Amino acid sequence: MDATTFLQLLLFGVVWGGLYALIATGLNVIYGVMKILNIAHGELLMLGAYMSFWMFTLWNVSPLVSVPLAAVAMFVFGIVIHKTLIAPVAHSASMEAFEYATLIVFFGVLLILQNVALLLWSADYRVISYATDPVSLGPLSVAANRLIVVLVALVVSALMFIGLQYTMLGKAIRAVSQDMTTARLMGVNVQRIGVIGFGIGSALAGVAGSLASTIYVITPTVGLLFTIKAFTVMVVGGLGSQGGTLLAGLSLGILESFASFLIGAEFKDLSGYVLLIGFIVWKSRTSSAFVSEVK
Amino acid sequence: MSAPVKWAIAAAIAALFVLPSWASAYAISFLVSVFMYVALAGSWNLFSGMTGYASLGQGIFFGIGAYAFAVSTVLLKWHPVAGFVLAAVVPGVGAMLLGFVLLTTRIRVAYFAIVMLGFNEIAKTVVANIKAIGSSSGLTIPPLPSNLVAYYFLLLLAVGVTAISYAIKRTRWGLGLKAILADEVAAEVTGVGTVAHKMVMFVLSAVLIGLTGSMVAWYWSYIDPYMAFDLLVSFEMVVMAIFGGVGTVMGPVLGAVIMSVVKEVLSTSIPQFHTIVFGVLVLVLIIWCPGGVIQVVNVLRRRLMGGPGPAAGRSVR
Repeated sequence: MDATTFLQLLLFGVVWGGLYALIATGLNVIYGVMKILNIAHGELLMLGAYMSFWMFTLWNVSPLVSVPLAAVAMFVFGIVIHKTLIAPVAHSASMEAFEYATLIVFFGVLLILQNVALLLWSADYRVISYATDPVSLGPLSVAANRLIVVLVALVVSALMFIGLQYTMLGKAIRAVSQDMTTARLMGVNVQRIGVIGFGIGSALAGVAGSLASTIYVITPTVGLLFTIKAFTVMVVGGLGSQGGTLLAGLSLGILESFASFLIGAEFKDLSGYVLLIGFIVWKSRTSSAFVSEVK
Repeated sequence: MSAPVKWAIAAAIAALFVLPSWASAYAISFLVSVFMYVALAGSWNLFSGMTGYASLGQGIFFGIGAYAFAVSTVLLKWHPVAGFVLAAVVPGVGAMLLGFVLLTTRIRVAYFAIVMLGFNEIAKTVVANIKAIGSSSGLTIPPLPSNLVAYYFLLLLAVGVTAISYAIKRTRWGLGLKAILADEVAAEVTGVGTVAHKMVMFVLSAVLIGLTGSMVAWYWSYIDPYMAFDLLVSFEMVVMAIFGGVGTVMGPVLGAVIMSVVKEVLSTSIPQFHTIVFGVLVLVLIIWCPGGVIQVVNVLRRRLMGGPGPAAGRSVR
């Protein structure tokens, strides 16, 4: 492998990694404020992607314009999901019962959204050819849309970082993520933060979907793959750690990029699973954060 | 369990054994899928429901069982009985190896769930890339001599899984599992062999799911990596068990029967929208009774019979 190929693969990995980090940031906020696994997170991404696809195809709207629109739409949609589906099961007898009930709720949401998309938009592979002209970066050449994706992903991630670190809302979200009971004792409205956190997480999935539609084929079933990637990044990066999420996202993107070049494209996703499993197994033996608490 | 309930269950099982003499081919094929789901949900419940370690990738053993059977009978020309033995042994050994890695610690449930899902996806990719076993185009298995083979095999599995679950609950071993579910550290310091309990149940669950997979593969007479390791198989058994009532004996049975009936009715009456309506029903029902159907049944039984049935809130765990 010569230096140019190496850098090209690195760049390619960074583009995907930035996107993964963005999706995982949203999932991280949701996990933080609610402590549940949202297996339908990727379905919101899929909706964002279709939104951007149709706006571009029907009205020639630039994906850069549909990014904020998808964010707003998915924020509202996330809040609706929370109010109608999560809130009614929130009074379960125990945390375990709540986890089980929400797992079913998200499974139902996944089934419905996938199949509504299938019915409305068919299983056809959808692609946008937006800003496909190559841009030269020294010896490297990269399609402009990929640069746009990574730049927007990094800007949104940075905004999230600033928001979570320095605003009252961000501080409240972090407080709830760290310790719900203490946050409540400090006067944080935990329920309200849960709703808003879920909305923000969903909005980020919409943004990521909008971006993904410019560099990836969109189908109604594309979501789960992204959900698993986001889980990998969230777990490896550390729950509640934004810096960790960014680093883990970039690492996963770069790992996949090199794995598909060196071993074969069919092993691209496999490399991510191996990273996830290896990391969890290692951590479950060395870190108390990966082991259930003593009650 | 009260005497009338016992008799009713015995009568229902007996009826299912003699039913094929009258039933239509359609009814047989429908019941085959019901038994499959009862066996899967019940087997998932044996490990995940009873220990609290919810696995989101238990379908990996379905796929391994299916492939063990297909490879041994089709490619190696083994007798089907030997194929079934292999379809029990390979998932069992696989579960033991995974168990040594995952269950010797108190790994957080969320992480365990995701790791199992990851293993299922790895198995799918690996199988899809091995040319010797058909890679992604799969294997064709000669058709069953009669669909009744699948009917009786899966009926026995479904009844067997439920009976095992009932028997375990009544022993000291079952008490140990209950202790692990409630508080693993406390169980361990009280003298429960927590690792042994978890390992045995995990392997048992894998063997039973593997056997189900092998029979279903033969029934389908074709298997490819995307069917065998379909994540939907992993998810459906979880959803059915939770929907019926996690950790209980009859919960997974009720959940699997109700859900497969609803799925069947919807897919024949409104084929275009059936999955969407099914999803909506799942949401409505879980919001209506978050503790599972068994909770509703227990409450009703208490009201009707005035008996001392278990308290509604506690019956879930």
